[in-house]
Amino acid sequence: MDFIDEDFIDHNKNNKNNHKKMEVDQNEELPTKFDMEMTIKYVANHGNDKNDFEYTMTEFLRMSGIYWGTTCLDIMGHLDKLDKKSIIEFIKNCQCKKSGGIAACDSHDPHILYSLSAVQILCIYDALDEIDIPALGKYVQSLQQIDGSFFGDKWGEVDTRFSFCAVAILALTNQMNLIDVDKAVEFVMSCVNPDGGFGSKPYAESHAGLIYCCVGFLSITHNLHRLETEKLAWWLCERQLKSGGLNGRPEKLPDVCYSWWVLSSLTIMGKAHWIDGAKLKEFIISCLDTETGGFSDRPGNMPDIFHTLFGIGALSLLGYENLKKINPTFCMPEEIVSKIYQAQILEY
Amino acid sequence: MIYGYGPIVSIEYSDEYAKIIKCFEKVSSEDDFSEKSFNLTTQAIRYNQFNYNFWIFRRKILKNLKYDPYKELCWCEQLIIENPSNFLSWDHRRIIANLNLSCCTSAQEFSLTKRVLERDAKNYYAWSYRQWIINTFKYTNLGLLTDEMNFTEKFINEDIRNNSAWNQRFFIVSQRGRTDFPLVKKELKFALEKIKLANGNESAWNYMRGLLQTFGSKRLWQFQDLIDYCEHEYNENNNRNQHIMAFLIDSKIESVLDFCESNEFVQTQKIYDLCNDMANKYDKMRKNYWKFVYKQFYYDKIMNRKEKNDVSISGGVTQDETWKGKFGKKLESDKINPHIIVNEECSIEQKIKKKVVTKKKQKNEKEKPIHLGTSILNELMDKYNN
Repeated sequence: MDFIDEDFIDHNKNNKNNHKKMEVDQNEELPTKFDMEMTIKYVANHGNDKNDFEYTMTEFLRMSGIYWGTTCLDIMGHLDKLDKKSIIEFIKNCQCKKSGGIAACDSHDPHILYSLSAVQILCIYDALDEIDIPALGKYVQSLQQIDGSFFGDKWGEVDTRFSFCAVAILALTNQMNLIDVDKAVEFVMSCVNPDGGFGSKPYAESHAGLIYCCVGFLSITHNLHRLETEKLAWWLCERQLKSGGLNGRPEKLPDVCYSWWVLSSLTIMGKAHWIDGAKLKEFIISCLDTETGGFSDRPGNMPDIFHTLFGIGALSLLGYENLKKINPTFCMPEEIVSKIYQAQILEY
Repeated sequence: MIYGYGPIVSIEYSDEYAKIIKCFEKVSSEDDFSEKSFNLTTQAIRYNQFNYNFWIFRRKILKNLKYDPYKELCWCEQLIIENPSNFLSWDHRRIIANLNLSCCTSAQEFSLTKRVLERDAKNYYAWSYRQWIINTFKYTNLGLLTDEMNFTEKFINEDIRNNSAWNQRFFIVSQRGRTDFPLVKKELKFALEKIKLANGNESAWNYMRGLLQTFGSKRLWQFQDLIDYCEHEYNENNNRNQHIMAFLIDSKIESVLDFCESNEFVQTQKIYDLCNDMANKYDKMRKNYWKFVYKQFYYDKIMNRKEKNDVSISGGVTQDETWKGKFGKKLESDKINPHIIVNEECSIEQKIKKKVVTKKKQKNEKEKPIHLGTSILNELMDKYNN
C-alpha cells in the first residue's frame, strides 16, 4: 500500500513555461512486447541476495515487498517460484504478541500497512489460520478514532490509506463487525473534494493513489452509491496523457503505478472503458526493462518490484493474455478473493 | 530508489549500518529509554530515515526522557529539508509540535514549508502541513487566511498549472465559510483570468467548477462571463481546446435540463455536435466518456419531460406516440436513480435501437414524416454502431 513516490518530487521544478505540459520523451526505442519469462525471473530472484545493501535498507517494508512479489508471480502463474513455508514462518514471527498487529519485519513495530500485506500474502497461500486472527482484529479496532478515521500505528497520523487497510484486513478475515463502519464511511466521505476525488485528509489535494484507497474502501463497505461516479471517473480518465500513460494528479508526469490506481478505481466504478486501454497497454510495456525484466515507473528508468506489481496488475485489468484475472478492489488474484469476500463493483 | 520512497543517500559504510541495526534491535526489545538509545536513533535515522521503527522508538524515548522541544523541532527540520518526500519526518514534526504548541509559532512552521515549496512547488506533505498550521493557529492569528491566499497566488503566478496551490486556494475559501459571496465572486474572476491565460489548465477549470458547485449555488450556464468567453473562442477564434468545449457541453446540458433554453432543439443539436466532435476529433482518447455524456443527457431530458408531464419532445415526436406505446410502461416503472442510470447505459441503447427499428418499420408501412428528433437518434445509432 506504500505509494509515496517520486510523484511527490516535482521533476519540472524550474519549469517557468506555463504553457508546457508535463510529458515523457518517447523518441527513444522502447519495448513493445512483454517478455513474461524475464519478468518472472526478476521477481523470483528479487531479494535473494541478503548481503545486498538495498536488502538491508528496505527491511522496514519487507512485508510489503513480499506481498508485491507473491501477487505478481501468482498473476503470472508462477507462485511456485517462491518458498511458501519460509514466507509463512516469516509472517508468523512478525506478529506482535502484545498488540496483535503485524510488523514489516521481525522485531519491528507493528503497522496497519504491513498488517494488510501479511493478510494478503496469507490469503494467497490459503494460510490465514497461521496467525492470531482475533488479535489482529483487535489491533485494527484499536486504531479507529472517534471521527471514524484510522491511525497507521498507535502514534499515528490519520490518512485515508489506513481506512482502506483497516476494512481490507477485516473483510478478508471476516471481522468487519469490530469497527464502526458507518463512522469510518463518514470520515472517508469528509475527504471528498469538489472534483469528486479524495486526498489523504479532508481538504487534501485529490490524488489517484488516495482515490484508489477511498474507492476501494467504499467498494469493500458497499457504499459506492456515495460517489459522484461520473465526475470522479471523468477526473480519473483525464489522467491519461498523450503517451497513453497515466499521472496521479493534474500536470504531473505519468507513472506505471498510476496505471493500477487509476484503472482499478475506474474498474470498480464500471468506467474502465473511459480511457484508451490500448494506448495505456503500450505505455506500460514501454516501461519494461528488457535487460533484467520488471517494470520501472517510466520508460528508461530502473525497474523495481513495486512498479512491476502495478504494471502487471494493470495489464491484467486490461485483459492481457496469459495473466490471471486480478481483483480491482484488493489487488490480489480474483480467484483467491472471490472465495473470501464479495466487494461491490459497479457494472459496465 | 527505495520502492518510491525517494533516492537513497549513498552510504559507503553498510557494515556500520548493520551494527546500528543490531544495537537498535537490542535496545528497542529491552525498552531501553536512555539517552544513549536516543542518540542511537539519531544516528540510525541519519543512515536510513525511511525506517519507521527508528522514529517510533525515538518517540517512545521522548515520552520517558526530558527533552528540549526546540532542539527536537530543529533537528527534525533539517531532515525535512534534506528529504521533503519522507512523510515520517513530517509526521514526527507534527506530533512533537502538537505536544509542545507553546514552543511553536505559525511563522516558524510556515517558513519551513516555504523553504520546501521553493524547491518542490507541488510537495504534497508541505501543502498538507500548511493546512495543519492554519487549523492550529487560525484562532489566534486572523490574518493567516489572507496571507495564505497571497501565498498561493505567488505559486500560481510562477506556475499556473500548480494543482496543489489551486487546491490550497479552495481550502482557504472553505475556511471562510459559505456565506462570503464577495470572496467567491472575486475567486471566480480570478479563475476566469487564469483560464484565459492557459485554456488547457485543468486546475483552473476544476477550481471554477468547485466554487460554483460548493459556494456559488450557481449553475454553469449562469457564469455569463465565462460563457461569453468560451462562445467567442469557439465561434470567432476557432478554438477547439478540450476544456472550452467540455465547458460548453456541460453548460448547455445544464441549461436544457433546467428548462432555461429558449431554443431547446438547437441547443440539443449543438450538444450532440460538440460531443460528437470530442469523441471523434478532439478527445478521441476519451471517446467513450463523450458518448456517455450525450446518452446520459438524452436520457435525462426524456426523464425530465416525463416528470413535467410534458407531452412534446422537441422536434415534434410526441411522448404518447413513441414512448408509451412500446416502452412507456417500462420507463414509468423505472425509478430515477442516477446510479442505476449508469448501469443501464447498455439497456438505454437497446431501448433506442428498438425505437429506431419501430420507426423504420412504420416508415415502410406508411409515409410518416420523420421528425427531427428521430433523425438525431438515427444518426446517433449509426455513429455508435460503427
